[in-house]
Amino acid sequence: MGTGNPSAPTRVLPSADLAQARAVMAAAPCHVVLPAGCGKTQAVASVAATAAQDGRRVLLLTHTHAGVDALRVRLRHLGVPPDARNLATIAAWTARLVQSYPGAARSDGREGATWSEVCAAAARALRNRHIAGMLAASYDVIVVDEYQDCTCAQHDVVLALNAIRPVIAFGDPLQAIYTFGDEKLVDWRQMEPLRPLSLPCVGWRWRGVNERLGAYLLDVRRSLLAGKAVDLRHPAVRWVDASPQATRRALWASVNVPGTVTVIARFDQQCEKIAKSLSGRFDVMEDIEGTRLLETARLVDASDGVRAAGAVLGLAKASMAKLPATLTTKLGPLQTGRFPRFQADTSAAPALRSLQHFADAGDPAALLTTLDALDGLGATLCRQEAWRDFRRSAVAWEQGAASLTEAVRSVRHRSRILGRRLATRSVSRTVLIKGQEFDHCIVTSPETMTACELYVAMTRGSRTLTVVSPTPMLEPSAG
Amino acid sequence: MKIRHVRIRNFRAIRSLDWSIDARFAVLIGSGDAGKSTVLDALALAVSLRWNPPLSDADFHRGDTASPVVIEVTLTEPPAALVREDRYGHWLRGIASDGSLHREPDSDHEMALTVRLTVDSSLEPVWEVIRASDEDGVRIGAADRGRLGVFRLSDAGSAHLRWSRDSALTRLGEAGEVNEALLQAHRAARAAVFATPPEGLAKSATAAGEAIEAIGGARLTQPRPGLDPTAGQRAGSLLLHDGDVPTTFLGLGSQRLAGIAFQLEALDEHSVALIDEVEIGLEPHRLRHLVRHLKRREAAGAGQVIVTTHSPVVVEEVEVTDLNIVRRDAEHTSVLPVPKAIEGLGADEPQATARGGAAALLARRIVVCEGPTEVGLCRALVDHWDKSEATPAALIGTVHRNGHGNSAPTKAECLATLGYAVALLSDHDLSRREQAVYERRLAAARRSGVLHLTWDRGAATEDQIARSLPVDAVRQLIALAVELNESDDPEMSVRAAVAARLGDGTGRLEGLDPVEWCRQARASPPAVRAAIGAAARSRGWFKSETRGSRLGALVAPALPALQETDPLRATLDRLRRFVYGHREPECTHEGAPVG
Repeated sequence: MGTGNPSAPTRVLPSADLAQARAVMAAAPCHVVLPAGCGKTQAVASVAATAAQDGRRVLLLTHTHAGVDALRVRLRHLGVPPDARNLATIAAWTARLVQSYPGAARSDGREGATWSEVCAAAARALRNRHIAGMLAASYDVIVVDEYQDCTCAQHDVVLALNAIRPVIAFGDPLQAIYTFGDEKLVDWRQMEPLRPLSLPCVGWRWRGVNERLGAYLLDVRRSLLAGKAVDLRHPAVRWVDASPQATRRALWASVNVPGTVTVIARFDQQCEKIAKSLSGRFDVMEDIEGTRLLETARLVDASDGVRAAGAVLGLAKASMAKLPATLTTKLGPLQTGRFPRFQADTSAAPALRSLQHFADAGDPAALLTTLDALDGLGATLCRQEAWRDFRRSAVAWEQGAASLTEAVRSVRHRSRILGRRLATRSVSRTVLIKGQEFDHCIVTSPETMTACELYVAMTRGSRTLTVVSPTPMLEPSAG
Repeated sequence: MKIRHVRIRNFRAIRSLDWSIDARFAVLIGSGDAGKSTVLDALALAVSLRWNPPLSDADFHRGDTASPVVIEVTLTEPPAALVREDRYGHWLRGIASDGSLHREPDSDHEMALTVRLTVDSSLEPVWEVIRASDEDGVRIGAADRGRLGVFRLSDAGSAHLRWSRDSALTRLGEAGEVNEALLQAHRAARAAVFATPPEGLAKSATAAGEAIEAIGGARLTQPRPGLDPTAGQRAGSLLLHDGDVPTTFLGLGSQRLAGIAFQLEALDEHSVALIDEVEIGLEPHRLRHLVRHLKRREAAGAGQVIVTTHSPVVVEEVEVTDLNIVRRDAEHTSVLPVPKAIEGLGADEPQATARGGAAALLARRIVVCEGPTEVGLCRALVDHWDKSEATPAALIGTVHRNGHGNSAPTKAECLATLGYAVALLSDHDLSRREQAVYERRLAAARRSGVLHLTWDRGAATEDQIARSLPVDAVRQLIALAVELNESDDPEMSVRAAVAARLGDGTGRLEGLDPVEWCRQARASPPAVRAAIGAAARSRGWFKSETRGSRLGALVAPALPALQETDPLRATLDRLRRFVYGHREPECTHEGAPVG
């Protein structure tokens, strides 16, 4: 591995970032805690870029596809060539290792192994001399992002990796918002031999934009870490009483605000309700795999014609506000496998006719006709992303994809690779927007959130933060 | 890199081959069409940098494209760049200390990569890195195959003395400079022709220009001769010189040595070099030197050299453990590494056997002869038999070698253990004390499958010949003994030697006719025959390969006149069947039939 220049970054890293990245690499093995908005992703990307610049190769592990995507964009921006780093989720990386070396991992390769079993197997494989040698030949340094989301089993994998090449772990215990069933998350007080490394904490997200908000959120962080309530009576934050009128007013007020706006709720149902109440001005954010689309596609692929039609209508009902009742009332019968009678002169009739045709034909062309008919009803779309990708998938299916499910997978995969464009106005669950940044952020039902969820939700906006809650003193939920 | 395992199916002459190897220097030997070169061809095809090797139906075993060609090569010590996770890091295999191949490497295994080339009837080659023969793999491109560092040294005549594309000389230096030198030379040459065009050429150019204009084709303003700017720029026109003399003037052997030297120099120490028929064009002393040079690469402890040879010089020069014997039968081609020691034989017996008769190791069937008389005898018999046999012994790959007396059974046993078809031709001219040891060795040799050919109990070769030959042939034998006798009075010397063995009859013998001798000595014909045999043996009348061969020339035509049960004829008939690979009519000898 030389410092061969085809692989050197094309863009120059700011010298401060370069110096910081060198210091972090020199301190490895180590772990770094950075609060939200303090440039953690940039710090991680800088380490990779600096390593690449020095002709060193990096294994970059994180937890979610969203995290992978965010880092991929950042690395591309810094001009880090793809062959200078390997970027993957811990789950995908360990699964592949175990799949390649079931013997060394002492894994029986059966279906349905739990993630912690996969991790334990991977940790065993890493103790194999040749596998360790392979990784030593592959990488000079290993970076793990979002370390707060590591389970104890994943932590063991990281420790085994650390025996091969020095590990640098980045994370923030206050942003640990994912849960993995019963699996325990890593305990940040026991990170040996990854030594703690402090980096200057600069609230980049709020710098020159709303530094008062940045400072306030550091106070919020301290309160939450200390297990204390958060006081919303502060000039940096707008507290809105959770009465229906006040909530509606606050939400509608954000419709014409310049810049990106996100409304945060805890559950998808709440998100859909809010988006529908805002007449399609806001788009519901989907998770990155497109779970809802996949569920619909699986139903279409696996069911008889009528239930398949029901699945499509179900997606339409979730995606559109103000669908005619003559249509939505047919959902129940369709889902039970019976195509209901309908009157030929209602506004929903064309859509129902095409649904009936689709139920009979079950082919992609009939599905596309149905989607056109549903679009023709003039309802308000509040799940643009889902509806658009469903149409794309239907087209891909028509063009020869093996099944609608496969088509959905490839459409979602392509949008992940190309980098997904987020709506300017979105409604989202907390778990979907970690690592994302918006100009304005409206947090709803915060009283149901844990300290971590609350912290993540409150730190998404760089210009303004609005919190809709019954009281100005927020006691984080126990979970 | 080190090639550790080779698996070939349906490739040219090889229907199936599995070869495990652990040496850094390996010499493939074997008879003519055993498939040595095919093994090298297979290796080069599977694991060296070749973008688009020409393949045809002829590359399939027996031209049958129904079964795909499969070549699997397993290498240890792969370069780190290929072991990386984004290359073949998920495809590592293991080789245990017993040489067995495993799907994954254990910590106490050696780590290895297996490359598989598959060619089906579409003739599209597919190269993969695989984990097991019955599993799919991941594709490996030519560039990565090149990184495995396996190079077949080519005999491209003078090509390696030139700076041409991919020649070793070019790889030793800067490729760009070659083009630059040629370009400059060519520009200078063009300028020179323009500057002083020969008068005749200038005239014909002018005439040509006028002719074109006259026919209305074109108008040339300045017709003149000039060098074609696209001609003569071949990279190969740059040739290594010694002073003013181009190195293509060197002898063929020197050119070949130079080619090998440049190619080896261009390889890094971790490479695997493959050389087919290493001896071509080289005299024994240069061949020995080259072999020593190749062995030095082995001593460096990295990389590997695999050569094929037909040369006894190479067999003598290398360690016997460097040798790998390639053999082919209908189903399998096998490669047997020669072991350092064979159980039950003396230490280093394989080495002694190889050095004592290197040519035999290059054969298929070997007749081990006890002494020079027997070697000569065999040679003459085979010359005679060849005239009436369908296939000459040389094509069958039968050779005879001197077993050097008492050690002959051991040599025979060693060769049989190495898988050769071996016959041992021995006689009984030992003292009683030696006899016991000798018998034990003979028994061991027979157990190893050696066909033991011998005479009546107690008879030496000369005894048996004198005993069995028709009387005319015995007269010829006496005449030959006289002819070969080097004393002042050859007739006297021969007669006296026979007379001495007839005891009382001394002095009464006259002339050279054995029938007369019976009368003169009042001895029975068998007694006279015994005396002739004893004289021949003790005086060493035929004790050299040349003399033995003269004797054989006399014996061969006389054999058909003998009864089939005659011990001389019976033994030599069996020898003939062995030499030509004919089946024994029935199992009459004690050892198991071989070959």
